[in-house]
Amino acid sequence: MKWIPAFGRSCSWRYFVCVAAPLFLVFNFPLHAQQMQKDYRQFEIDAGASIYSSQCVECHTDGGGVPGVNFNTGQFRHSLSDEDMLAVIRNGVPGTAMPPHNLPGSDLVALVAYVRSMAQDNTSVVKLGDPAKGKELFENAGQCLSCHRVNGRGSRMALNLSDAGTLHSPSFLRHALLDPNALAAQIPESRLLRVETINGTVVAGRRLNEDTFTLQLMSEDGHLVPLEKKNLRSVMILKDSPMPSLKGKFSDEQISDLVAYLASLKSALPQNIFTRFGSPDGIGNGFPTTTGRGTGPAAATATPAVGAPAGAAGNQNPGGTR
Amino acid sequence: MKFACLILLTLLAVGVSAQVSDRRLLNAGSEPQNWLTYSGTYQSQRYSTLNQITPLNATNLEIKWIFQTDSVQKLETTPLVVNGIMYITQPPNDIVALDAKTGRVFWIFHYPTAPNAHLCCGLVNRGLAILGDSLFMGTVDGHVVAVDANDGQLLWDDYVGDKNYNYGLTEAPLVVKDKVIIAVAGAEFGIRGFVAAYSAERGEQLWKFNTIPGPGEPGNETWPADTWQRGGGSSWMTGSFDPELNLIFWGIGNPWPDWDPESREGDNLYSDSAVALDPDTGKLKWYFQFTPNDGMDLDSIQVPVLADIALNGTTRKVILWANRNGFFYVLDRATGRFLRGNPFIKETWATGLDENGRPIRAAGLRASVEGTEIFPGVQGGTNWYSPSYSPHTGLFYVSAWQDYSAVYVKVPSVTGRPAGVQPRSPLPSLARGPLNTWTEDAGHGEVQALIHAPALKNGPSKWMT
Repeated sequence: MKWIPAFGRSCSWRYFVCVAAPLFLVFNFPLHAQQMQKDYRQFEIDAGASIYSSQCVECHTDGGGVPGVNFNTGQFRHSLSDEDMLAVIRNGVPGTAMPPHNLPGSDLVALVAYVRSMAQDNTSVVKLGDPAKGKELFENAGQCLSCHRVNGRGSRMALNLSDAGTLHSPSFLRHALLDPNALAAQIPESRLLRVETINGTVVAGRRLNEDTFTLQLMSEDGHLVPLEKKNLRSVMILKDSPMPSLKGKFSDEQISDLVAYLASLKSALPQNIFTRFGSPDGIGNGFPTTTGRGTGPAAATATPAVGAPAGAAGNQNPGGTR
Repeated sequence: MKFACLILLTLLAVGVSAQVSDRRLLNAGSEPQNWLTYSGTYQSQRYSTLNQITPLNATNLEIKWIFQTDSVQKLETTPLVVNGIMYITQPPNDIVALDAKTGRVFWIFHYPTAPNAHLCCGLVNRGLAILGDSLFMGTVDGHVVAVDANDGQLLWDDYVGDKNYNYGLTEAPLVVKDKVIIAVAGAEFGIRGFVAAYSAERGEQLWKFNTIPGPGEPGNETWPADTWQRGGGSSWMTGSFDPELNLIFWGIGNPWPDWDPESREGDNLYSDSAVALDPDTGKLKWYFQFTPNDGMDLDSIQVPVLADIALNGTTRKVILWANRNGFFYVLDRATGRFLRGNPFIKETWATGLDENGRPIRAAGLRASVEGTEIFPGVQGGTNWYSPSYSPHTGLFYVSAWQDYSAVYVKVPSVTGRPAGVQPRSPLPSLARGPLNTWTEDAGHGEVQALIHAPALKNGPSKWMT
């Protein structure tokens, strides 16, 4: 296991926690979406890219800018068909920061073409096994809960996988199980850090946020740890994923079962509930963030008291707040 | 370095567990560096024993950090602070975990408010409760949610309203033992209010106390015909808890319609009352009604302040209550018995309180076609602003509206609205309709911080600023 110094004096550290546990992932069945996609020509995609740059990129960045939404997976909470996606762009999503867009029909179609083209791995065919067997492997032989958390159970040391099936495609999940190191760099908040303070105290944990002056960790016992860099002697980053590859440890069938289970983990949360780490404005945060929210949900501008019961006379509330 | 050593060092760095046990909540006053409940402790005195800031050095305070909320709604939250982590709500219903020292954000839990969420006075939220590693919050669209205090993940979500009515939850919950206790707002839309307890672990409702009694229940006779069904009585401020008496105390809001008492002749229990409930069962132990048959929107939702004070040579367990109706009350919190009461601002609607604390109404002072000026105005003598009590000085501190009136006018039926009563006042309803300058001559008052000493001395206010 290799540690690299983020700053401060370099030191090696050979004995860190090597946790047996599956990764930071989640699923979603992409089949419907793939079947309901149209073929688009390159000029439509190019036109969509131009519109995306002016209309969408501020929040969605390169496709993964809004927590819980990742165009690169080809999976969408609100859209199965291209018609669904077009309606979402046109009408927005009530209760979220996604506003309606008054664009010509041709622009809407071009945007759909471009967003569809952003999916990076939706052509991979991944065999999905038995999710029940996968759950059994996840919780027992795989000891995945010793690092990961699912629906309120397990450790907070590695990423919470309760919504893995929404955030990641099955092919991504399979890749993560077999080659965790290759994907670790894609998820900066999954990195394990070992920090030594100027008074000699050592803290190890998962990096949640970092900016020029501060560092925030999730400690191994699952608690938030704020640190100021001026008080740190060194910060070592675990280069490789602490998660071991499951290649050779589980059969292909078992891997398929695990992927099926992870892909089934679509949290029962109401749509659009999500938790984002880091600064709301992204300023000074070491990781890509986005406002993704604007000035609040549509409900924040809810209309005055129409529909009040008969007799609700007059001025609705000079009495101030409730 | 061995892994075991690492774990040990990590624990040393983190310090005590972030878990907030029931015992810690009971003894919250012994952790002045933390703020574990909405009002700091179950007694809701909001009295801190921290002493670094003094009258001498307060002038040297300067801004250390600023957190910019991602909202244009009013910010009414009281932060919780647990071992250096500050938890606030961002309107309408986001939860933010901050490093209290630097203001840096750990995480933000985004709650998607229903598009039809509908409150009278802004989509606000006043804060959270915590137990173990779970944060609890009421939402403006009628839900109670639990969120993991460490990683901001939703743990459970329970819809507690009624889709046919405008129920919203704006107050911070109060955790008592293993229960999350919270009440609903919405009296301005004719709801039937309630206080209820939910399992902290799973969210299911454990008991429910209807603030407006139904047929066959004591108090229902104070409502004519079926007016109880939409009697209001919502509650939107957090209550208090006395573990020795095993009682929670909650303030109940106005009856509906707010300004038309003639449509609901009677006392309209338990609107504008303090209620004492068994936290295990929700059973009513006693009530005290401040304003029977309210026609001025005189919510009694103020935070009940619990104190043990000497009265006539005897230490009494009391509740101190500066009410929106302009009177300051001292109640026996074991029985609800009225002990003392005096106006703390200018009020004209009552000439005083009788021996049981019932207001003696000023004759003829009701809404009229011509308009009737009444003190205090529509905000009352005070409102939801948290009061405090210092056991050190023996004084009760409250923000108040002084010399402030409203004119209550009977208005005829217009298209879409029946006849009713409208209060008119230039403040603070600036955002609603054209400014009324009619009451300028009467004066619209000013906000004052009032320090009151009647709890001990039955005397006048100590000072005002």
